[in-house]
Amino acid sequence: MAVNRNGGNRPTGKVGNVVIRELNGQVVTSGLGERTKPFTQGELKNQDRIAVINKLLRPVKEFIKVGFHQITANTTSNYQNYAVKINNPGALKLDGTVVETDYSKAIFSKGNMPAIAHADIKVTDEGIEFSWDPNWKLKGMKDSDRVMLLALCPSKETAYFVLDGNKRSSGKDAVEILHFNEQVILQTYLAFIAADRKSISTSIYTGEILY
Amino acid sequence: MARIIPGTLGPFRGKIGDVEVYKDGDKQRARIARCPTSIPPTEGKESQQLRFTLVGNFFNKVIKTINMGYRANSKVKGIGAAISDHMNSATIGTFPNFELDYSQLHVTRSNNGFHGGFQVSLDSHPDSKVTLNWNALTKLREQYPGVAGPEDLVHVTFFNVTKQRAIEYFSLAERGAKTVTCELPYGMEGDVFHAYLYFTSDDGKYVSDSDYAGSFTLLE
Repeated sequence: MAVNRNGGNRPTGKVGNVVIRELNGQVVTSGLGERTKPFTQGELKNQDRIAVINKLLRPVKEFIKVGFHQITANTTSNYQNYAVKINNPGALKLDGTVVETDYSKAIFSKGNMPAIAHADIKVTDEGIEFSWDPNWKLKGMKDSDRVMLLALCPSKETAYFVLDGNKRSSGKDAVEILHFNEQVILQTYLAFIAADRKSISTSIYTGEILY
Repeated sequence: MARIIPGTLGPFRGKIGDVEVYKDGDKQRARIARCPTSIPPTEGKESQQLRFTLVGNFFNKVIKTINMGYRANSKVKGIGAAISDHMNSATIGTFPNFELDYSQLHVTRSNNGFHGGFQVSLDSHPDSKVTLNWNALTKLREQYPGVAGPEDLVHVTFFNVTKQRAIEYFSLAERGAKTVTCELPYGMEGDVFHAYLYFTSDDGKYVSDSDYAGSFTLLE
C-alpha cells in the first residue's frame, strides 16, 4: 500500500510489484527487488511471532471486529492490525527461539468501560456457562450492558462466541458448544459492550477448561 | 539429453551436462542435476524417506481433496503443505517399521477457523452403504457469520486401505442435514475403509478442518 504523505500528490510505498520511493530528490518507480540474503535472527524471530499471533487471531476475526471497533474508529488503524499490535508481544511467551501463545494475556476487545474483576465458568450439557456478580459496579458500567463471550479451541483452531449476550444484570450467560469426540482444552474470555455499542470493556481471561 | 521444446529459457528442456531444466507448475526452473552418491544414507535420512513415502502415498491418492483443502501459496503447493503437516504427527512406530495413524490425518485444513463438525460418527450398512452423522450448533446463522452456517456443504473422503484407493464425494448435503448416506462402488465389499468428513462454505471460499469419522469394513 502506498501512502500520500505531507498532503502532496506523491504517494510512496509499494503497490503490487511496484515500489515508489524518493531517490536523490526525485520520485522514482521501480520493480520490486528480490531478496537474496538470508533472514537475520531478529527477522526470523519476528516472523515466528507474527505466525503465532495470526494463528491466535484467525478464528476470532468476527469477535475482534466488534471488540476493537471503537478503539480504532476514526484512526488509520483497523481491528486486525490493532489486535496484532496489542497481542504482540503481550500475549506471547518467548523462551529462547520458541514462541508460544500466553492465552492468559491475550486481549480480544479494548475500550473505556471498566472491566469486571472476576467471572466463573462451568461446563454444562449445552456448552460453557459464564457467571459474574451483577451487583459489582464501577462508574461507566450499566445494567443494560451486554455480555460478549468467547471460547477459543486452540487444538481445533476454532472459536465459539456470543457477540450480543445477556444483560449485565442477569449475572450469567452461556456459549453453546457441542462435545467433540475427544476432549479439548478451551480458553475462555469475557467482555461487556454497551447496549448502544458506543463503549466496550477490555476482555478478561476467565480461565481454561477441559471440555 | 534435453528435449527440444520451446520454453522460457530457450528451446530445450531436460538435462545438458550438469544442468537440468524442469517444469514446476507453470514455471520453468533450472538446477544442478542430481548425481548418484556412494555414501550410504544415515538412519535419520532413511527414516525421513520412509515417512515421506508413507504420507506421500496417502495424500497423492486424495489429491482432489487436497487441492480443495490445502491452499497453495507461492512457496508451497497444497500437497507439500499436507505432507509437511503430517510427517511427524501421523506416523507411528519406530524405524524402519513405520505405519500411518489414519485417525491423525487431516485431508483439509481450515483457513479462517471455519467450523468443522461435532460428534462425527458413521454406521456401515449392507449393500455397500455408509451413513455419516454429525451435529451442528443451533444458532449458526445469527452467531457465526463467515465461519459456519446451516447451508455449508458437506464433503466426504473414503480411503480404502485394502485396495489403497480413495473415493471422494463432494457437496453431498448441507451442514443443517446432520446426516448423509453414501453408496460405495461395487466390488469393495469386505474392504477396510477410513472416512473423513469436512465442510466448505456455500460459496466455496472457506474450508473446515477435516474430522476423522472412523474406520469400518464394508458390508455386502
